[in-house]
Amino acid sequence: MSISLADIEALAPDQGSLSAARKLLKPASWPTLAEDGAGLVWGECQGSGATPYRVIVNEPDKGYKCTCPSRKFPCKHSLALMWMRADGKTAFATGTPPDWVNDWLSRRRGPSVRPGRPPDEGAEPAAKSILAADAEADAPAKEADPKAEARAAAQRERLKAERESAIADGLDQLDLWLEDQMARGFSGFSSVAAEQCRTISKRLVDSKAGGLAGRLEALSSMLYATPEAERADFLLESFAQLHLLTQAYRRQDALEPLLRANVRQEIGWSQNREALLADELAQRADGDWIVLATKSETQPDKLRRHEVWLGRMDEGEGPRFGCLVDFVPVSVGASGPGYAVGEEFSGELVFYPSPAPLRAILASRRGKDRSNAWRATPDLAGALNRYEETLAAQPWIGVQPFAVSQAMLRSKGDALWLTDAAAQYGVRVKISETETERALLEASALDAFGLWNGRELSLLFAETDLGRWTP
Amino acid sequence: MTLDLDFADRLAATLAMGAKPGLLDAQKLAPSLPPQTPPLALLALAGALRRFTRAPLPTEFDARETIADERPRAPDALRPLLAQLPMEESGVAAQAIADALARRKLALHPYDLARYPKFVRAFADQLGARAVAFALRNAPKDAESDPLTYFADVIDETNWSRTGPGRQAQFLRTLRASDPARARELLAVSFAALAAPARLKTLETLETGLSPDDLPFIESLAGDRAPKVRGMAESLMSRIPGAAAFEERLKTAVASLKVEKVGLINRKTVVSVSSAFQKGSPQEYNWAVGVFGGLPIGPLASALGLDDARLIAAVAADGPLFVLLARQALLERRFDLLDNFGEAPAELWRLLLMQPGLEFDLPAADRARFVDALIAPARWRELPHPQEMARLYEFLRAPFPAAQAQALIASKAYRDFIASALHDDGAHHIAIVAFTPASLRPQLRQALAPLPLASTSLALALLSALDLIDPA
Repeated sequence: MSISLADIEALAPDQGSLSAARKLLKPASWPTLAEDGAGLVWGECQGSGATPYRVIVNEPDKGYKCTCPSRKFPCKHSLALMWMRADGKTAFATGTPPDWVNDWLSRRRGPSVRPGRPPDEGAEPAAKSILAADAEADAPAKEADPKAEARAAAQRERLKAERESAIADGLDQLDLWLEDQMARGFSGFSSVAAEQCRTISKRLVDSKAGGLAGRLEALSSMLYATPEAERADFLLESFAQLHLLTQAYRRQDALEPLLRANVRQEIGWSQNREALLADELAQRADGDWIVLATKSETQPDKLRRHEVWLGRMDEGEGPRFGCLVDFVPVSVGASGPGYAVGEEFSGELVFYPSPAPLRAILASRRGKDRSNAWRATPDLAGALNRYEETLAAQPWIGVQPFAVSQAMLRSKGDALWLTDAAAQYGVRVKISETETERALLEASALDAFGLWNGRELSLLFAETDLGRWTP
Repeated sequence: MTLDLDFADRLAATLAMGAKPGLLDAQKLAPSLPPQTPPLALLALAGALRRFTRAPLPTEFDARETIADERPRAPDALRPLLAQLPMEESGVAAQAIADALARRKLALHPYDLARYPKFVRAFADQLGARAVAFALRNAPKDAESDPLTYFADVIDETNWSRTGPGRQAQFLRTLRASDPARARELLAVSFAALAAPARLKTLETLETGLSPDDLPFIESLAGDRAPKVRGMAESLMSRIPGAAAFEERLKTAVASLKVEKVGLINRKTVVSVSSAFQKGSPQEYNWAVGVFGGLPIGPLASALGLDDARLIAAVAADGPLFVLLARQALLERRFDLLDNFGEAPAELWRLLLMQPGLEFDLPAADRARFVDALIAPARWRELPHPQEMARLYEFLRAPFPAAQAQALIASKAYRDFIASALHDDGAHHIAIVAFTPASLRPQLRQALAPLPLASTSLALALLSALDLIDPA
């Protein structure tokens, strides 16, 4: 049973949603539009985030799912997909549902809305109309006002200057706080870490240095996750990074452009998608990519941070790894990064400017160009050297992608080490709660990927002689 | 300027207890530093230096653990399918996968052991030596029974007592069906060394082929330290002709039954139960289990002046005695008697499997005969509830014989179900896949193909997984 425009009107939560969906009816916004021929339709819609939203509609029961963080159900993306389907003007490729669609189907417990039943029985439905949305879209755009634009530009400059001043004040407060911790001593810091970090983090939020605030907010939980014997070193290193960042920011005019851009990002200046796409400093890498890992964690600011770690599969120029980061309000409920580990595609990543580019957005995406496999390149010694080179250039880096070829996992008591074949070089491996890493003791040759914080490697992906491993 | 690694150690030691920044002497910490180096610069230098310090490797590593597992690995293509299935929920899908792996003597991929720890722990004794080693290493601290320490694909008289309680019982029950005396002898030799849960589970196997020969062994358990084992021994004794408890029970049972002839032209013998409880009430059912449960059919029929077949034909099909006699016929392996249940209600298997207090097991070969005798999908008015189908699979732990599976796929109940299955959550489909033998899977796949993927995706994944493990 196909979906009609009347169904879409009935499903839409309000007129605003229909109007917003109307703007998404351009196929150019949809890198993927497909169907299985039996009423299951799916697509990817490029939103404002690093990754496109994934939308599924099941026509027989009008079920839908979208990975966007909207609290409206159905969201504009789901409505737009239904709309394109209903008006029949857009071509949908016929194919087998990809894993993310199958995953939704297998988790589904039933239709989202029963056919024939109004969404909220008894309540008077708000008037919503496709015609009204069309009329709204056809209305002429407001004419630009040069004076208003000039006023807005001046306002932006004034706000920027105010923020620079606030940040300078925040950096001074942070240095003072660091000196206080030195005077108080690191041994007692654990007992007051949460409160101390929260206090200075709030001050840094007030000073509009959101990046630094985030580091401080996360510091206490990272400290508690560190074995007690290593906490003094952890604090020494973490506090050192904070001071190096404050100093680098103060001297940013003397830094080369990429490093300066990186320091500003670390402090809290952000760039939206349009600005990044237009930024000449931003490095671009077009190639074949594989999803090596996905991570989701809830931040203290009630946002869920989704990370998708990508590895380059072809030999092209540019960065070998990229990290797509998206934030979703916790209140939206459970949501995932929308990518499955092992998924492969071709596309262009645009990296936030940095001497060692890592965080990126997906500028374009298409089916995979070539058939090739992911292989880690350097050996362990090479990977360690590469990490230290990055550390020398940006001494405030946090976790870094770490890929090694021909490695082995070995045990020593309860601890696990990833070493080269001769066991000359090695890094300690973090053991997760489920201890899934121990299974790799059976493999004899690993092309492994993980996140390295300089102390422990969190293993996240490996191609081995026994097949692919993921935690 | 060069800094030695000890500089960071010295600063860390100083900062552990705290130091007023103004009192930090840069030259004492590192002579190569200018005396006026600001304290925060010292902190930054020491912290950055530390980040370049590589942790020393252990001088030697542990030797690699070797586990002798002869089983070949299941095809790698199985792995993504398992990831789609609810492997950690111990439902029909997980049971069907474990059973298929055991039938084909295939092992899970080593990486999947850690991915599905609950599944591996639940079915370790079906999954091979590597799975047993994993389950042993990852046994929960609060586990009720001891984890498995031994695995063998072939269980025989030499090794049965080293396996887990499930396989021990399976072995003994099968042996009881062919050689009850030998099974009892083996159990008697090892009984004292078994843990209480294993003693209870293995003692229950004496239900199959129970006879007066078992009496001395069962009587010897009167002093067992586990109350549940003592209770089971008493229950078994009361079912053995010749035991004092049995005679007492038989007398009570006969006194609770009324035999009469009804009908004017076609005189028919009817045996009815007379109890103080309301007919059909749970109280009547519980009372009947206490009075008739486990009583052998032969002595009861004789005491009523009937032969075995006539007793069964004379019992009302809607009463508790009917179910208890059916259960007893199965335990006595009297499949000939099942014919005398005549047009037994299509739901007899449900009553046998779903009623609490009636738990019983059969040797694997007898389970197929159970299906033969009692599962008639052609007579089902509708498909059983998913919970009932799950319980049936849990009891059988194998697909239906081809005839019953074919009858199920062709049944009106199934056709009606798929015609209205738009909103089914998939549990029915999963159970039907589990019941379908390899030879009929293509037919089932065809039946599922036109249905909405929303309700069949898991069943299709299970079907593909079983095709890989256990091809036709």
